[in-house]
Amino acid sequence: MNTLILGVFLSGLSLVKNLINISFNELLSLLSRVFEAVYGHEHDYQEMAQTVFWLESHGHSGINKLIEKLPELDAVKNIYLPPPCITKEIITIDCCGGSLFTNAHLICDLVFSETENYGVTKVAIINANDPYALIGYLGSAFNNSLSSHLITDKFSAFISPGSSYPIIYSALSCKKIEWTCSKHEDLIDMSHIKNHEPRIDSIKQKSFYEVALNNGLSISMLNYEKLNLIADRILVPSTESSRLGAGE
Amino acid sequence: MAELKPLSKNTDLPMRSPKTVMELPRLGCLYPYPLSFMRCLLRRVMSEMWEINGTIFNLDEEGFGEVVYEITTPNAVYSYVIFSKKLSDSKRSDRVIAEDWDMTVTLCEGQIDQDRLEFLRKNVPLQEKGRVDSKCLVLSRANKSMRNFEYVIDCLSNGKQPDLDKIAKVGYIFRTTAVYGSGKFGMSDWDNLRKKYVDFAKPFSAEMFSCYMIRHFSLELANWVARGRSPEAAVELDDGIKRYIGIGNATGLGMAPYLIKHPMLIANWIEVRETSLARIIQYKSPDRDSLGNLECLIMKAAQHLDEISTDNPEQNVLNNRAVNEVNKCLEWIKANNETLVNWQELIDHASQNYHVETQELINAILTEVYAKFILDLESELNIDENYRMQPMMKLNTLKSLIEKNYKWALRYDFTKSSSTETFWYRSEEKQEPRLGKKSLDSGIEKEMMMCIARDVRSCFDEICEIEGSNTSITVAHFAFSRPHLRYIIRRIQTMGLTQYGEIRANLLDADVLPIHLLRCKLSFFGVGKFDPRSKKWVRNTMFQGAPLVSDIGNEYTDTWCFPIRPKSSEKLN
Repeated sequence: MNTLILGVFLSGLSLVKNLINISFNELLSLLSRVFEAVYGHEHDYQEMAQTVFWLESHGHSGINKLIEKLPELDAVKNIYLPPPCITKEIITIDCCGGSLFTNAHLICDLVFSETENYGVTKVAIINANDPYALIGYLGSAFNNSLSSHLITDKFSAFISPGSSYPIIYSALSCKKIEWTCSKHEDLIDMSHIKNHEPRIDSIKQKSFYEVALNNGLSISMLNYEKLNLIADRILVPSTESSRLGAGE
Repeated sequence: MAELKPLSKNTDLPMRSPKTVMELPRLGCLYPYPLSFMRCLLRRVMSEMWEINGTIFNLDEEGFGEVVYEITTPNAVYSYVIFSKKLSDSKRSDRVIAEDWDMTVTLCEGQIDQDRLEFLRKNVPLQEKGRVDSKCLVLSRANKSMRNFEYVIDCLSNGKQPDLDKIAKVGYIFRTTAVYGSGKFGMSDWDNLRKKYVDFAKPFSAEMFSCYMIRHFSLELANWVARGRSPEAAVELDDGIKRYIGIGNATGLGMAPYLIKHPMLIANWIEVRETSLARIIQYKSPDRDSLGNLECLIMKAAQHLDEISTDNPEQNVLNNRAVNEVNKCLEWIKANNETLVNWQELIDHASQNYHVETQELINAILTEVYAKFILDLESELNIDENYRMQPMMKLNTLKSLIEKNYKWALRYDFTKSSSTETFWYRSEEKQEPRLGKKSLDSGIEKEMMMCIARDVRSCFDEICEIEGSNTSITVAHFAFSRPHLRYIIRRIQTMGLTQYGEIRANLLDADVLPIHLLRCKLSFFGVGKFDPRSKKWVRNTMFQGAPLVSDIGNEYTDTWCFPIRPKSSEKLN
């Protein structure tokens, strides 16, 4: 879809009843409050918000994916990961059935750090849900200096050094998430995606972002309200005396 | 690792240390200077000769109705849309939680047709409860100053100009109570604005322009209402008096979290300011002309401070002391003008003999003397903020970074209850930031993240706990099992790349003075005449002494700093 058509499409969407057009700033702020409401200051709630925001602002339906998962996230407060198992060959991270929306950033920190030190890192992420949460981080690795190949049961993704956006391919049958990150592209086994057509290329993601930045994002009113309902938990009820807490 | 470059290629500039500059009480003494945002904006408006014309002026005799101004710049056309309504005195409030206002406004892209006007009519008067779109750049509102508005109308409708003594006491006839931009309520995001609307691509430029337009409308409204009340006898406000009337502003705690949430931006604004001063010290020397300018500006600043009317006793003490001290400084300069060889001597004299308020006033005056010499730094005010984790950093490097840049934070004793007595929270009333006392108020479990010093302390303590066992691990490994520290770690790492770092204060202290945060940010806006109403909010004046819309096209001298009361109807510019 070219940029112009996408722009018209997005503008038109906002006219449809039950959709609300919101800016990037509003969405990021809302998501930040949502994660703050759920996890308090025990976790990097701003980074969690950024994870979902990246997906939504690049056309990967981050909000819908989060909304599906919210009841579960809201119910399970203990999202601490057990220490990773690190061998010479592979790092294994057990997410204990949890969602990567809450931990993708910690895993990425580890992978990028190990890759910087050793040149190449192979990672197996087991018992994890929502692998989409990793996509946005692939392009942010150290000024885009690393190459990554991610294989999951939902999609596979590849990014070469210097690129800001990963190319998304169809899923491969794989029960765990396998991720190879390298300083050198030629150290990555690309046989899985060789000769495959991308499902989403970098141009499509970039165009979506630019159009959405210009016009705002259209999200469902219902989802917007669900998010606000949680976000509002960080607010303190107002009383006569609390009003004095901001002046007379 | 990413590096932030110093603003000047000459890294030998005599920059003041962060230890001196970033202490909160000093930041709370900053004065506007030539690179303050409203000064930057008006230089652009005047040099590019923006055209500002009323295209719809649909007001009744009392000034209620709709007005649209069309603004044509060399790059684009914008509309400034105003809805003016009758408001009962009981509903008029400066608080964010107010629900109704005398005037609501928006600045938006392009010309306005009837459909667009209808859309804005339905949403702009609702402010936070309405929704606008990405063609809107600013949403704001303002109330009449009851002290001055009726008085001015009364004078004009009786054929008289208002008494300058009365005008001087307030300095405006309308006061803004909130100015929203950057994507709020569906408006254009800042990233979009700065790419798409080059006219407003400097920090807070669109917001400042909105305030300038409210001032313009308030002056037109005064003439309109006076003429409506007494068509035969009414006179128009004198231009000299109009220039002396600014736009009031009420700023509360809402501004404080911004400074804590955007430390890179604040550090950059400080660096630009300090670079200006350091450049002047390094490259300029006192001579007859500059000393003459300096002396004139000191006298003007003293008069400006002397004319400020506030019933806040602390602010009066500060103002009076600053007047006395700058007058002493003036005497010192006159006595030493033959032997003064560089500006560092003046700075040293000020820091050894005067209070911080006066020191910062003298610094601001010096930048005014050499305004043209620093204007190129205007382009450095924007910065891309990114608080990205540097996961491969070794833990001992992080520890050294804390010891180097956050020594100030480690000095606080957070085991003392008074060190954490204050907490910041968001009220369910429009998410208004408020202050609570831990020993008195409920809501501590929902406190905002305003506790940088305490979080740095926690991070440092946890690093120390594992010291000896393995400090060569990476930050990634450390944060993996301590996700509560990840935010503060990436903040420490990022701010370590800046020259000035964090604002140095414990904002949880029982005796914290948030008003210093407000005044710091307001000085960057270019706001003056601070009139604190409590330690939590301050009234102030914007654009007082600034050229009028009718002055656009005339020769512009950027000298409206420290506005002083005109003599009768003398023109200020």
